[in-house]
Amino acid sequence: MKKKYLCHVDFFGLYNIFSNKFEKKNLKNIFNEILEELEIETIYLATFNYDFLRIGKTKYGAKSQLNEITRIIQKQKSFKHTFDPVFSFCTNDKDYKIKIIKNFESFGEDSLYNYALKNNMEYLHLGTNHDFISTGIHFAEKFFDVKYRYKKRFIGNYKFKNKNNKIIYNHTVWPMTKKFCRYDAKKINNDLIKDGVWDVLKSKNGFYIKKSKIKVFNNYIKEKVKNDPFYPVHKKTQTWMKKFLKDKKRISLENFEN
Amino acid sequence: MREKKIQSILEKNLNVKLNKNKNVKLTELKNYDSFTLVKIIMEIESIDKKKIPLNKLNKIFKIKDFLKL
Repeated sequence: MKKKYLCHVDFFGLYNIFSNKFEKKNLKNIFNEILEELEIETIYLATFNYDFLRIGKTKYGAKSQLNEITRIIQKQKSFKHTFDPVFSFCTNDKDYKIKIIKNFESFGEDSLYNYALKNNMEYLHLGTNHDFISTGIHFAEKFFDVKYRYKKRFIGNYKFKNKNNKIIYNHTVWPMTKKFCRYDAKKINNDLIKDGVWDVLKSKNGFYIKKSKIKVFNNYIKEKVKNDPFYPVHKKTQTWMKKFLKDKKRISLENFEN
Repeated sequence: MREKKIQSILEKNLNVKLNKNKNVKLTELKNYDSFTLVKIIMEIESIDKKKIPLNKLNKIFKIKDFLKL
């Protein structure tokens, strides 16, 4: 059986890696040709939309706020959308069946990430660079005690087939502060490549086609965090957080929001 | 002539007037993403049907950087 992939795309990266293909005008066709060359058939393409977190409402098939290629692909008739008020994917996987979950935990038991893990899917980055960290890191965080983000509950509406569904959405967020809060994407990606967790299929000028088994990815991050609880976090973030956490166990909502 | 053509490609794809925005960083633009970047590059390449070397493209950070291509 052919592998299925959870994908993120950076089109400029694809332009660098497959520059010879970029002679035709139709960029959607070029994207499909690239998938064909990589022998990728079934994809879940990230089409995230953050309206639910900002304004408390969203809908099935909400317009992707990532990049234009994701908006083009999500409009294709052969693609449907996965359930998640924020981190939804569009997919051509005929086996996927949507289910509305009223009390939903992003990256939790009912998430696409868990479904992907159980079904032995893989992460696939198409043209991304070292500065890109996928939401896979949030899924990995479900397997250890996260000290640098806190749990927050969002309540809002998710419209599906003309019906509004009230959804409680539990998500882990960066603290609400003007201080620097970021992952150290460069370090994490370098380590993942060096230790063979990212299987690099192609690369050029700092852009990559790379894939990873989800379980291996999770275990790797978990092991790193065992040695250093702040491993995923950027040095600038670590500096202020460690000072702030002097007498506390972890970052918590009460310290940043009323 | 070439600069004028590039200018009109940029205004069309980025939805901005160039005279005031040449120094704006691309990442600060609402309509900008990697797909738009590739569209702009391909339209610039089609002016004289020549490929732009990748090393030049990897140095584009502000709107005005396109005008030098």
